[in-house]
Amino acid sequence: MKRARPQHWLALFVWLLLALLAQSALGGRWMPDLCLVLLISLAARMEEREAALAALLAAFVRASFTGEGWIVAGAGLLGAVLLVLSVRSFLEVSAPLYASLMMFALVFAVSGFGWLAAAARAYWAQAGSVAGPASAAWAQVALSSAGLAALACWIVPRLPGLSPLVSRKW
Amino acid sequence: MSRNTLVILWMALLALSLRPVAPIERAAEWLSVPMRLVSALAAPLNLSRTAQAGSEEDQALAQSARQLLQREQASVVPADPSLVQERNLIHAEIVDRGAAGEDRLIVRHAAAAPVQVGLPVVAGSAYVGRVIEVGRAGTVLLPGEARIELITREDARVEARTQNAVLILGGLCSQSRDGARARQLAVHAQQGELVPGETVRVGERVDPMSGAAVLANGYTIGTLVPRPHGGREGWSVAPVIDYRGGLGQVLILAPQNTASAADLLVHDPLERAGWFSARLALAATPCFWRETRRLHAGTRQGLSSGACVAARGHYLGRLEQTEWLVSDVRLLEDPGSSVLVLADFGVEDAPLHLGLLHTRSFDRATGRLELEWQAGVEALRQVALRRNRRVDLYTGSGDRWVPAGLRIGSTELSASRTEQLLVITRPAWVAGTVEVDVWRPQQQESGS
Repeated sequence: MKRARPQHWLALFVWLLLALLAQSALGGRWMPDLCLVLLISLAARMEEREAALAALLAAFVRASFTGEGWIVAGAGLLGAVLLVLSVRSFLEVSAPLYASLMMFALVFAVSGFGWLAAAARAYWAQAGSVAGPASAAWAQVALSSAGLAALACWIVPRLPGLSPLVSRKW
Repeated sequence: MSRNTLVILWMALLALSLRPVAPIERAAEWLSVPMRLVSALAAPLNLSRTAQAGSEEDQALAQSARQLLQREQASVVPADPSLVQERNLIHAEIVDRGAAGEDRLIVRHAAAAPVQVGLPVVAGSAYVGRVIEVGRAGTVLLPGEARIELITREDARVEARTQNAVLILGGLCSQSRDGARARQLAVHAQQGELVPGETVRVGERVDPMSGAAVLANGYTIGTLVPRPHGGREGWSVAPVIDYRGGLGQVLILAPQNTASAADLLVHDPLERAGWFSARLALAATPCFWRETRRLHAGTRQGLSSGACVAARGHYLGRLEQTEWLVSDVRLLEDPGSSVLVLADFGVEDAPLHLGLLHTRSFDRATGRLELEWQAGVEALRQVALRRNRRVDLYTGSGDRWVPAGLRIGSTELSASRTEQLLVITRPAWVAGTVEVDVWRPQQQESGS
């Protein structure tokens, strides 16, 4: 087993940062959730402990650029990673078909949770309402993310600096 | 770290996401400060997608917004000379609708103006209410501010007259079957013959006990409407103005022998002095269903939650949460956000306050923004009187954290539908801009 070192986590951090910036610069109706695709494609082949750390790192990066607090982002992304870790014991989630299906479901789950948390926080703070995502936009992002996940499951573990984070020990 | 530990950690985060605990939230914010700095360092990589337009266009927009606000001020002066004679007219702008309940508003006027408790408040030829508190140093209200009570308040009373009758009215009738949008004023006592459709005007008795209330004599309240109640004859008054959302600027009537009143508002909200320039962390958000941004400025720069964020004369949104170094911006495009809106019908018609509009949806690809407007019957009547239905929407008065006169977009109004979906196409650069201005009213006031 290859051991992940600080520089590999730094590489993951840089890739997450680039994913966010690219998503921001290219954003459109069919823009996939690049951060989620990157994280899940990697987590499918990581050790449990490191996959959880990757989820928390992704949550910190995401929260530092968006209005989403890192607790909410962390709960959403860690939940997604835990789901992947559970499913991969009986399904090959790094195969393109299953990676796509998994990603399609995770986009709904993660953003649905984000909406739920935003609505709950607005309720407790008595700060107006937070409307949920439009179903069309939801489906577009889920489809594009699912399509990208089919490629990402092969590409992401080979990205410079990330291969030492990948393992098959589970 | 075992699977069980991860699950416990996740469940703790899950619980804290749904029910935030203030000390933990604060600790989490401090923990994430280094990451926020990273987003500031990455700012040079962040390119806005569309080129910024020239300053000539911006100046033209600022000019048209100023003209709109001047027309709005002019529209609250009564056209009938008899309503102006022997009175001092003091302009005031509503700066807070929510702080004192729906029937009490806070207005700002020239600090030197002779405003006193009991003075009547009007808008155009319509009666609005009266001053109940004047701001002084050391009180909740600042000098140059006053609290007014609308005639719609339950315990408000005013003596009014029709052609052949005298009425005591004030407060709202219990809700009619048309729902909250058809609000009518309650008639508590009557003497003389009442005729449906007759105009009801303020008619306070001229005696020393009436005080300044007589200054409102002749101002219109509304029209008489029969309102049978429990088999008996009853009456109510349909008001001429929309007391909930239709007020942006008003006039306070003072006796003529008082010191001269300033005839203009204290300051121009579009002056540079009140704005702080800042930069957004990203031109767009990775969260596809929300339109929020992170701003690289916070309480350290004197910014406060709720402050307006604008760019080149366009309204963008407001600060939802402010921390020491960064703030979260909730854009107008974010579903569920709201803004007080002033509609510009063109130079020939007076602007109209539409009240609070809520965002229903936004399409990033096309810039199509849908705003919900719950129109009152009084507002629809005002729209029907206008020749032009194509309007430009701007921010309106009524929120001290959002200056009036910032452009939102163009749309078309209907004079018949009480629930309207106003469709606006936002300029492409608005979604992609990273250079913004944040409103700091305290700086603006000290500057003026």
